[in-house]
Amino acid sequence: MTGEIDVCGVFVPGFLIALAVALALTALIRRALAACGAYRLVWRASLFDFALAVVILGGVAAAQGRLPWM
Amino acid sequence: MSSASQREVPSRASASPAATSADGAARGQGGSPIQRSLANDVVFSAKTFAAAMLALYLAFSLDLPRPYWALITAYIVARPLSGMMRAKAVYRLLGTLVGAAAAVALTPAFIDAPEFLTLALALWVAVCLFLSLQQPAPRNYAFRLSGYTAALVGFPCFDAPGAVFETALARVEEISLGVVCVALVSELVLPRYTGRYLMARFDIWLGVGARWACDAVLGRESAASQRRFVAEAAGLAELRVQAAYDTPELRAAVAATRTLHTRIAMLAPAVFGLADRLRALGPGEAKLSPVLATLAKWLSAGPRGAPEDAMAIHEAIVSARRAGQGLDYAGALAGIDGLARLWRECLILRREMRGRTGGAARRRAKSDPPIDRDPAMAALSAAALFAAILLCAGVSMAIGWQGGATATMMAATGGAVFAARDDPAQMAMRFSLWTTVGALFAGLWLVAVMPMIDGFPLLAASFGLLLLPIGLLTAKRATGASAVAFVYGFGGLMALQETYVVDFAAWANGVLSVTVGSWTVALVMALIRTVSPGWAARRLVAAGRADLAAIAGARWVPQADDLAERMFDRIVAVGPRLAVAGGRAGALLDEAFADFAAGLDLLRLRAERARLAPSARRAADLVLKTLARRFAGAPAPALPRRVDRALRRIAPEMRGDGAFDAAVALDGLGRMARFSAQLQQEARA
Repeated sequence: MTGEIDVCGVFVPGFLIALAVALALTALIRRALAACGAYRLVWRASLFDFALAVVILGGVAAAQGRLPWM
Repeated sequence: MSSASQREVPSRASASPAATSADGAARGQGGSPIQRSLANDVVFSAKTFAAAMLALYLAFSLDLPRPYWALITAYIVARPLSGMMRAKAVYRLLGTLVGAAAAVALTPAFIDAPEFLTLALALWVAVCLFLSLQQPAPRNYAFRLSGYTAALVGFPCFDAPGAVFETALARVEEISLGVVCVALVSELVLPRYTGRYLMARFDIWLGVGARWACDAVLGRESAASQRRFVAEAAGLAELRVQAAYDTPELRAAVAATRTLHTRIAMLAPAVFGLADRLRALGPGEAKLSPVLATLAKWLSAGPRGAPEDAMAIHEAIVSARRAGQGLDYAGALAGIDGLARLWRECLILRREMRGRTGGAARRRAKSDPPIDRDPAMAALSAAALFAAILLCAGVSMAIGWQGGATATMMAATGGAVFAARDDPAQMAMRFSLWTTVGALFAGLWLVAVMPMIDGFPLLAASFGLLLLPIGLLTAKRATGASAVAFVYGFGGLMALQETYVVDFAAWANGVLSVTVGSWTVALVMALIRTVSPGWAARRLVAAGRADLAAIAGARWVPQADDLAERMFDRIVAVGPRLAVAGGRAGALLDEAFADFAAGLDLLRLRAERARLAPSARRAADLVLKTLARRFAGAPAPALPRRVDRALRRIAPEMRGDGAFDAAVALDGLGRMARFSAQLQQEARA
């Protein structure tokens, strides 16, 4: 998460990229879970979604810089 | 939002719905069954305050230039129900982005000509307001907001056009921060979803409708229950629109709620027309009384009635059909049949919605509800706002006043926020009053409290003393606007003090400019835009007539559901205005109902006319032509004669279904025309 990434001449922090990736991933996983009907087992959908987003963001940020393609 | 919350639906509505819930609806504020309990308000206030403090804290620690904007935003966006908050939050973000972008785009273009920049910004605000008035709520908020955000960013940058990008960025950052904080707190801590309130409201509305139908069927005085039916609809429509932004499950059910809404709205012309037919038939029609008694019994069970009971009514109708003769009698039976079918559909849809199976209803998903666009009034509002901004900006430019930018911002904001009201001037004055009160408190804080504060916890605690009680008021419809105005004034004036230095001149200038801005917009709106509620109601009824004229003239062939929604939306808009106007109020509401019933009859006649024999069809066409003229406002003395002639022509082929339906529709049209004419005559006398 350190360092900046050059996007068309604009330097953006790497964390922003991680955030965008995590958001997209969360949306996908949410769709999949909703399609399976997993939300019937969830007490508070918003709380679950938020927690999911935080977990995925943590994962993406941790993976960033360690994987060769990130 | 699954089975648990369904069980929580207040059972009060179901105890004896036709009687108790309707009474409760009349007594409760805005007809709400939901106890607006103090506990709910306290939780809401605490949540809003927590979100505001979170936003303020983050803004301070991120070193944002105007931390208090985040605080104000939290109070503007916060709503007790999740759906309302989401809608407001999303459209506030969008509107802010677009408005800030517009300011950034416009300012460099007119960098050397502040006069033209003023003109351009005023035009932008006015155009956005116009577009917003052409959009349904809550989406219209984004348009309005993108208008005055441009003003908020653009006008303060006149002295330093180079700063426009920073100002725009700060605005977007702080608004986003406030919105996100509110969304987080509101969704994660004790969220309240729209669903259960929506179902409870539907039950109450059904109960009120059933009561009205019962009164009409039994020949009792029904004006009061009719008015209650309209009053109950207003709050429900709002709630239903907001449900579209609530939890995903509820969003999926929104199409079903819309269908149910339209069905219940269609009860209005059915009951109204049937009441008129029964009145004409007289109380002596004993052959109908078993049918009416069965129907009344079913209706008095309210929303808890069983849709299967419709069979009993149907059998009673069939046996009654053999007993009597004549179009009046057959028409009354057809009316009873129609009402029973409609009520059955309502009950089935209600059951489906509760069971969330939503079979038939879900299939009928449709786009946005048609709203009554009134381009002329919207243009007038936009013109008034344009004039107010130019006046404010022009005067402050001419006298070289420092606070002129703030005044102009206030004029733009107040004008855009209140333009949709009948009395924007009054609202703007009230807003100004409460903003000033908030500003006075800000002054008190700056002088007396801030010097003692040495950290964020203490600052938050001192704000809590003031904002927690104010938060209680934001939850209530009657005081919400004033409370938000207070926070606006408080936060806005605190914002002037970026350093904790007391600057009386800046503070006084701020208060003065807020007052001048609000008063300018109030003055201009009072001169150009304010209309009396009675006038607005008459305009709505006239717009409905124009629709009917278009249908009669075959220029417009809507679906029955769409027409019903449109006509009923107007009735709902007319209702509260008439309550204020007094005088001939009831009569105008009756006229609107008669027009609604006539509209559906018109569609029925249009649909059946192709199946009529040529001579009957010609007679029916003549009636339609006369009606088109009448709804367009021309006198049509020949109408009753022509209706009678068409009915005589149709009589020989009455065995066919099409001809019978056409005859009933014609008869209904004749009745409603007579009814309206009589009301208008009484009004003139």
